[in-house]
Amino acid sequence: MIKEISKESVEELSKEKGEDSWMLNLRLRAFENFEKSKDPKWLIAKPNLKDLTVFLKKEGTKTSWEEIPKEIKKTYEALNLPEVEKKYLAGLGVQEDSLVIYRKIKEQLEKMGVIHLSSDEAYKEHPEFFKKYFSKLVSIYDNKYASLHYAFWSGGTFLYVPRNVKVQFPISTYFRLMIEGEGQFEHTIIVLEPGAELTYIEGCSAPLFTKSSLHAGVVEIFLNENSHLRFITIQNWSKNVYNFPTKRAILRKNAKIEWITADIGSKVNVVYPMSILSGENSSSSNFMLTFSPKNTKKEGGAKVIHASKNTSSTIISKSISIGYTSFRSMIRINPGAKNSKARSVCDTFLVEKNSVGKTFPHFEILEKESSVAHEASVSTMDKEKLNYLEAKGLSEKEALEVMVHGFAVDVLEKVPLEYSVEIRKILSLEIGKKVG
Amino acid sequence: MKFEDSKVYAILGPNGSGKTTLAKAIMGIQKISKGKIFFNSKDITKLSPEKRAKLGIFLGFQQTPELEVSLQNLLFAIDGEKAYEKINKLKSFVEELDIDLKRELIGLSGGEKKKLELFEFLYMQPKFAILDEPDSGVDIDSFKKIVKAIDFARKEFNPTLVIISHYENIFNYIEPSFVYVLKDGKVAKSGGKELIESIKRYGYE
Repeated sequence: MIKEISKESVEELSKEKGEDSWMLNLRLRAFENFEKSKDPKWLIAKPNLKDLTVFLKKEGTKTSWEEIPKEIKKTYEALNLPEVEKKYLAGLGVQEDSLVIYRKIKEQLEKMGVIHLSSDEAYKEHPEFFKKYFSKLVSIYDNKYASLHYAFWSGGTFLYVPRNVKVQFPISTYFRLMIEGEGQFEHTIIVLEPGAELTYIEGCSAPLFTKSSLHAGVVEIFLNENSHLRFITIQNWSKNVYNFPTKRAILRKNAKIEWITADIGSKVNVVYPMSILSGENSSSSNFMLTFSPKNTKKEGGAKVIHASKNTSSTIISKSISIGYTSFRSMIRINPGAKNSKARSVCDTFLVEKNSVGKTFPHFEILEKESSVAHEASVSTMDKEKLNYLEAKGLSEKEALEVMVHGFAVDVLEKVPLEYSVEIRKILSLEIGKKVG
Repeated sequence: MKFEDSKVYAILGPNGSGKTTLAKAIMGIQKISKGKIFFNSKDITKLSPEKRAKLGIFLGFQQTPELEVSLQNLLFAIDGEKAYEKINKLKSFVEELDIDLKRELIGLSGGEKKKLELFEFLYMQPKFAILDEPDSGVDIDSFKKIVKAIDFARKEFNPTLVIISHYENIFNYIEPSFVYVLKDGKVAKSGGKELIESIKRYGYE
């Protein structure tokens, strides 16, 4: 069911979902704010909101394989995925074997006391619990696209890990996707109780088919004392998508977050995961790989607020630009956040002569007893390097590949192997197109 | 100019005489305005550097560019899984030439670059190799190691070897069977190894 963006659509969605009045009211307030908000200053490209529609998924609706864009089919072929898997990654249905695996994992998680539901389910099954976290970290007034998100949110993951439970295997949305399909405004909430540990993988290794042109998810993460989260995003939306997610984590004492982000797909992508280091000794690290194929614009970055003593943050950003990439960071060290350390390194690799790579680091250092370091570098595939690699027996395409993979290795080695293998393949595929 | 199988050639000449340009032209990374290049009687003038490399032509660069790639990954890109096996066979030279297979090829010293090129030469086992100033800017220990690597190559796969150098010293260790002297982009003189002795004494004039 395709609907235009309007107050009526908001009301209809809420009714369809059978929601309480507090959720409906929240949606309406968010929508009102969306309508009166201006685009954020940082937006590198605007989607045409007039033509924008929201896709309200009805139970049991399916898309046919024929409707999948040719380009995505081609990518699936290149990844050597079997037919069934291709169809199902495109959101066309559920494979029985995978369902069995999913059920096994679900059972295991339940035994540990982990709650792993879609956000829609969590809202229905644990209303008070859900309310305690929902919209508490990212306000409905945060930015125009967050407001739009709250007006139309649907789907997403709710994950709760109890005290001292260390989940030994990564949990990924992959499993959710099989069951539900993913909405265009999905809302994800992750809560780690003291001492809990989790690796969460968001997104999919193969390009997701989506009809929608704007994707604006929100992620809210609550990390209690001594908990540790690795949050891995493999973003590979199809190339007609504007992706503006808002991701935020708040960390208590000794908590630790690692944001590992590979932004490969979509037409325009703007994402700055934010860590609020509110507890002493908490730490945040960002490893980002941003790739802009031709005619795409990608802005990656990070925000960190050092709000307590002895906090530390690291940002390692690697951008590969054929089109346009930019890095934007905001690091604030609050007064009193003594002995805090922040370090950012951002490297850009320009593939073509007219490829664009920009950096916009921003610092607000309000505490003298702290240290901040920033490094930036740009490298290119110049004639000299190309000549060298060709002379050693590589074709132009292979030469570019080896350079790009070499450049990306710092981030790729942080991603689970099966994902890094596929990211490499996707990079090679795009570079192949460039070289022709 | 002519180079015969398995022989050693010295190319000498003052700065700017065209030695490196010649090397690059043979490798295919320098365009040529006139003339043709034949390899095993096959006209390779129009072949890409990549194809020339695959025929067995090798250039040890005077200046290795800065590359954000480790040698291991570079060799892997060339040969795939086979690379590990081939590296393994050269284990002693990995040590001898202080090769760090996993380090990105960035910020290498002059000497490290020379040893890297030499290692690539041993690895690729070319039929025809040009070594562009393998001895410049290296200390005496590295010099000895480089000579040892070249000796090994001659015993092991015996390529046609073209050595470009500013210093005559290397030819005391690796004896050339023929010498070309370049000047202003042309062969000014050619002859046997006695030419080196006369240049040593009288210069290029």
